[in-house]
Amino acid sequence: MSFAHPIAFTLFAIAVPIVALYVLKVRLRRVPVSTNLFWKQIYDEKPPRSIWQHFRHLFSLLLQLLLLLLIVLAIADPYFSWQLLDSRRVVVVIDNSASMRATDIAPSRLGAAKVAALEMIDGLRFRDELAIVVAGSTPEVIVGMSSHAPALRDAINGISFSDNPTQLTAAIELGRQLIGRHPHGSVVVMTDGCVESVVTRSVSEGSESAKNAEQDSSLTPRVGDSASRIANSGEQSRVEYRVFATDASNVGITQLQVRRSLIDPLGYEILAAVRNASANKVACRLELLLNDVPVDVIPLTLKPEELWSRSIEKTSLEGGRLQGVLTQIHGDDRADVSENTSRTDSVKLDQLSTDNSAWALLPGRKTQRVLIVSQGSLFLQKVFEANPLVDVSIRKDFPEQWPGDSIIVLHGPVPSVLPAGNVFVIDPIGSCDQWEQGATMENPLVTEQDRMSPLMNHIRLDNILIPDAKKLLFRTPVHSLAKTLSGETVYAEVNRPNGKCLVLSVNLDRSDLAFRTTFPIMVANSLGWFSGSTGELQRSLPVGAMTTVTINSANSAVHDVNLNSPNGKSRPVVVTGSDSEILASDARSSSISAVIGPLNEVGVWSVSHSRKNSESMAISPDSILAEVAVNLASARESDLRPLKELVESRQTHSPSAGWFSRPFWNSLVLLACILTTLEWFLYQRRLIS
Amino acid sequence: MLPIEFSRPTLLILIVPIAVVLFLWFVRSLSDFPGSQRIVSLVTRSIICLLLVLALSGLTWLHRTNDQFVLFVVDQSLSIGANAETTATEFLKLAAKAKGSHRVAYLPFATKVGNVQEEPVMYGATASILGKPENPAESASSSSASQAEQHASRDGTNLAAAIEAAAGYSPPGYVPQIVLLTDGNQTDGNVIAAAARSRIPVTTVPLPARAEPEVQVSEVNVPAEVREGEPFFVDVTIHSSHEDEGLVEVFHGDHKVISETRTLKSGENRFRFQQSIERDRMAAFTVRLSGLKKDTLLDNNADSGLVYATGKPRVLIIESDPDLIRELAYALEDEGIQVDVRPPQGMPDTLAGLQNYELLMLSNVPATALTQQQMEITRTWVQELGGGFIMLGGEQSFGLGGYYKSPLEEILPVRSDFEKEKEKPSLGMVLVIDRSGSMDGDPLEMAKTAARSAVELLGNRDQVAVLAFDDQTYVISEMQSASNKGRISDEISRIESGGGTSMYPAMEMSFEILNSTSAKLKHVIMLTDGVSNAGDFEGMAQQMLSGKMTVSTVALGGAATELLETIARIGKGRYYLAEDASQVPQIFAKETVTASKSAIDEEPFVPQVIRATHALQEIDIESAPFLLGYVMTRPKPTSEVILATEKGDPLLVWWRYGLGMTAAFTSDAKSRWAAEWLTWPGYGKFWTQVVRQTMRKSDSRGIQVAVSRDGSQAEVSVDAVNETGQFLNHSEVELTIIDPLLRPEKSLMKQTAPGRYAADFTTLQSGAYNLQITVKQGDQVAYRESRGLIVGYSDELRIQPTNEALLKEVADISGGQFNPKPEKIFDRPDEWAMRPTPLWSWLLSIAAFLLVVDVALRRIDFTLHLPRRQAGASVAN
Repeated sequence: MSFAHPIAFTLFAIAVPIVALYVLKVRLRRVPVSTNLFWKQIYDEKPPRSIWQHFRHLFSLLLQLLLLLLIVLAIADPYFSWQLLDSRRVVVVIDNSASMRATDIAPSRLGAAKVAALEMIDGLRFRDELAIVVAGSTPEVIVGMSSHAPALRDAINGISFSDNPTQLTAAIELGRQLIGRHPHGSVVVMTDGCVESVVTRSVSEGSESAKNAEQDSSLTPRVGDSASRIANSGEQSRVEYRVFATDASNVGITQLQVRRSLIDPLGYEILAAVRNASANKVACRLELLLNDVPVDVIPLTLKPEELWSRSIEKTSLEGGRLQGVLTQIHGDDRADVSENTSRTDSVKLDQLSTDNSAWALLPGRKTQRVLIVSQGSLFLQKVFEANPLVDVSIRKDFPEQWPGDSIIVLHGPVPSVLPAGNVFVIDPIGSCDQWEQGATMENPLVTEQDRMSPLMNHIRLDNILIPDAKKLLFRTPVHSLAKTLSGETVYAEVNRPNGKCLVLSVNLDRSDLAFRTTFPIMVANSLGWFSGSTGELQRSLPVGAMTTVTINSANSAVHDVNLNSPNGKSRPVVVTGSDSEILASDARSSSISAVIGPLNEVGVWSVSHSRKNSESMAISPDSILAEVAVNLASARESDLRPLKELVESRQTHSPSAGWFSRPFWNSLVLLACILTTLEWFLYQRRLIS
Repeated sequence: MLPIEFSRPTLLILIVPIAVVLFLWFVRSLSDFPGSQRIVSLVTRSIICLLLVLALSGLTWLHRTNDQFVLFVVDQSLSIGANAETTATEFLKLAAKAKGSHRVAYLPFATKVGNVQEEPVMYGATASILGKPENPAESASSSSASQAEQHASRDGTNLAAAIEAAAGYSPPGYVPQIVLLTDGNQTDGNVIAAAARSRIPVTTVPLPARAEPEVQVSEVNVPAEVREGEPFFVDVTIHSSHEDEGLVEVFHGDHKVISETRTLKSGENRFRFQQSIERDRMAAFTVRLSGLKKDTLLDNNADSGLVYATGKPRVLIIESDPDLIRELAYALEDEGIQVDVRPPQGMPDTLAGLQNYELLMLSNVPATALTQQQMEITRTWVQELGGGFIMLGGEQSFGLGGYYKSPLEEILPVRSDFEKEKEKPSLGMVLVIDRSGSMDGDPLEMAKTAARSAVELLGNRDQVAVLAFDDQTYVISEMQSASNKGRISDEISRIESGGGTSMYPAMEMSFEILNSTSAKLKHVIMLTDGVSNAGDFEGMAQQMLSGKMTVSTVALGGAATELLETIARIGKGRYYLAEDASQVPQIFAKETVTASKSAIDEEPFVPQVIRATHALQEIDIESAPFLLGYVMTRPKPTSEVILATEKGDPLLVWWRYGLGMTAAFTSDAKSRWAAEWLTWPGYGKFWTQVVRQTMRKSDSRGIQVAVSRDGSQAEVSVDAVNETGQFLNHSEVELTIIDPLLRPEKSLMKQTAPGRYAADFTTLQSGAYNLQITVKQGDQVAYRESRGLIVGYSDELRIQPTNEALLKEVADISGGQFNPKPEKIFDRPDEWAMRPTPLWSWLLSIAAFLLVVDVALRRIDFTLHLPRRQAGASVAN
């Protein structure tokens, strides 16, 4: 046994006055009495002092000295070498992923995990150290290695729910690292086991490589994995899993994405997936709302384990927030569902509400003015008119003043100088400042086309019958989009300083372009290209992601922007600088891209001008610069049932919370407490003096 | 609120029983002290007990403290040069001076995070810091292996991991701060996310970029896809820290296409080289810098870019005598297929080489002319990347070429072993195997495997004997019928190595054995890897020849080649030089089939249509002229036999193998057997259609593939639409990735939006990644596309200027300072932390002192000593 504070033994000096007080001849109180006759009688009957009375005095002294001994020993803080050797280093990894919100375990899975973590802290032995890590997209250490129980308790009580998907690998790796090569290190993972696979390795298994690490349950299937890195780190800390979950049922939206159609300018397609992660048949409704206006309600009857997925085509000129909501979740066996039963039923069948709604952002469409100058091609007119985003006006001759706000489509004769702005020249007759017209090509065969250009997306010209096309000799180099076998360009992007220009030299009236979908796609592509926005897709991101947003702003105050979370919290977006590729400030268009994230909450995040002086807290729609939809969108996270392997491998190495795991001085002080009470009793009853 | 807390508040409950006992026996006390003193005694005892209970329940005093714990997180990655090290060391020194009463610790990191230490990180000893500090002895005796390991551990910068770990090392009770000293060029992790989540302010100190003379190829930019023959630019960005001059070389694959000496100015240098791709499907352009006057890191002097060329389908024909196959090449070229004809030496030995073609055709090429590696690459290419493969017949094809049990036989739709026909002459064969000491290990094992497969290939009427020799000759297996395959095989297994090399007696014995057999054909195969003791080999060979025996020899590793060659020549056999033991089985298989003269049927026949197929529509096979011969094979169970010979042996067979398709045409396409066909009008059409049926279909119309890479993560995204421009949803999109080590990895891409599929993968290995994307609808492959990704030298070696913007953002987001002076780090007077001080020892000490009072109150009647009290007491009495 050793002592932490041997200096405390000087306190034994206190024994001196105590003994002195006992040795001291006590001056007795004088009490006048009328007679001591009866006392003498008693004195005569037995000896004046019994042996016990002698010892009473000594015994009292001994008790006092014993008390002192206990206290002084306690202050000296004795410890045994095994206590030092057996001290542990524990990292508690608490999973606060979205599925931990499930209420199948009261009060919630996270609640139960926190209770268990608090119990672990109560069970901490003297000299044990513990750190708490919350698993997220990046792990967060909320308390570093500490043995200070209140701080640990406060930290655990402070853990709140998140919408993040389960991402334990990084947290476990960090835990292992914090433990280092400590002989009694362990990483205790408090999770609901809703992961794809797990890292399990214990000291006894030694350097045996880890099983495949749990993968990020969302996102795409990965080819490589960080498990091998963990396996090779050669550290021998044990990973223990505590699973807080039952085989709870849940129905959730696992995907909601919306994308503008490539062919129909108003059309869009919604890709929605709903998963019934339970062994019951479930009926529910998927309501789709665009800017809070219902666009579709789909009644669903989902078989056990069914993943329902469908793409739904809709049309809308406007863009906005598309929300998918699951409602009226009930068991399928009951035909009519009364209000009350359906609620309990719904809770039982759907233990997690986070995934009952999902968002997507539909890019809006702006109308474009198009001026067609043509001798009369009904087909051309109809193709543009069929595009509902286009406001077409038609002329037969060149106007005196070219309109600045329109896309000019020239079919046939071309002016000697092409107008500034966006110009689409189709089957030109004559030369202009950009080209000189050559001979007519008979039956040209398109053999080469630029597949990289957005203008040629989903276009194949090689199977189109083209009876004739004009040969154009360009004055400046052009970007050729389609070339014939003989190397002549039939569709080109002309580089000129005063506006964008496209030339298609195919004779429309004779070609079978009119009977194909190619031409409308070509027109749609070109309209998109002229308007500068291709934006047919704004992906909804999985929660926890980081993303780059491009902020286009007319005013120069793009540096003063906020990121607003779905529940209204704002924080400034730092756009001063970042990774070379992430931040590219373009002075001309005053657009800036900034990295935002981690987007760890489900809903629509927005980037807006910060309103320092504004009185109202609400963000006005005008100030919104960019929006990002964030969904749970994880089939694994929506499946609340824990991984079998984890539940089975559950180890019970919980730290023993026995009294003897505490420091030895605790026992000494407790003994002193008992002794002092006992001595009080003995003294007061005059069993000792 | 009182600034106190209890670590075990439940123990406060002890107060209750103790108070009850104290009070109860106070009331029922028999003590004769006056009441006032008894009350004082009770109070004293109660205080003692209270102090003890408070100590037990862990009374802790919380007080505000300005004491800081500053963890200096120091970048040790390779991008940190000497000047950065000086800056960092200087900074740490000044900071250590300024720390005062604050606590500091140091944490080195690079790809991973090291161990926390109390002493400043010494750069000179970086090696041991990131290694294993637990075993200083081990790291001190750093061998080259551990140095390489250390190099690897420094080859990357993970700022996020460093911040996360640093938070774990910060103890409570101090004002924490992380000071990150780095150049800010992260290669892994996302430091912004980590900083945003960090509860501890991260102060960042930018370290200067490397100042050592450094020249690097920063970027090789090539278009992802070009048309064949279309000129494009290879854009090269070279960063140099000084003025220099060097040789810039551009390699197209292995061929040097440009070699120019260029002057490099300090800073960014951009060069453009015009190139075009004529005959390749996929071309890697590598730019290499050399001959520089001053340069520190050499690994970053080369980088590559990958270009895909679209154009006509391309076919590679390998033919032992390229001139003979010209007709086929012309016929295919007439139909718009580009053909390359090469001798076996020109067979590609990398996957990238094969990726340039849609189909590989082997015409009369023996397996012995190919390496094991080439055959395996071909198999991977067919199976995983959808390449097409055709083997044409000939006296060196199929079984005769020794393909028995080779990787290529595996992918072919036919087997090389066949039922030997009764009327064929019987064969007596002796296998003579060198078992000398030098054959130990692989060579002998390969020889045994070879001998076993040779036996397997023999017919039931054939006879075989196996001899082994060192200084002596051993009869391993007596001359017996090859139908005892199991027994012979067991006997072969017993050959063990040892001894010298004396081949002549063995040759003599084989002559004697063969002389006494009745077989029509007699053949000896001799294998040795050493120089034999002298003997009259030539005479013996002559003797054998006169005994109607043939001798083939195999020289393993190139010893005594001349002698063996002579023996084979005199013995009318064949001579083989096997560079590698793994070639021996193919040689034995080829020899066995050749010697038994049974695999070829050289009688003219008219092809019979067994199975009508769409692929051979409009070709009137019935009107096709005679073919003059073919190689006998057996179709595999699931193959499709399209054409057969009159005897029913397969002529044209194909099947699907993995993603690709393979076909076997057991006759040939040249003047030997197909002489009549060369003038047949259907010749060109027939072959074009067979080739088009078998070759890789690259129908990428409707899908757009984008591959991007960020650090060690690459992302592939595929946009798929059908002919009418509608999104393809719920399709099965398969992604096959072949990494630089040729390991295939298959996965299904996940649909992430209407018409969009995505997958990501890690690119830890540098080199070329080949990707194959197949979009299936139902069971049909709708679209296919090949892509590639080249990963050059590690990002850590891309020496970039210090990323101050990123470091500033990290500081801003986490609430730290950016680039403060060392002394300013500790200048945070407004920050405080609650520090808990356990009070138990003080409480117990007070209790110990109170004990004296307690005893005194029992031993001395203070009322006697206090006059006023005494008076009062006497009055009372």
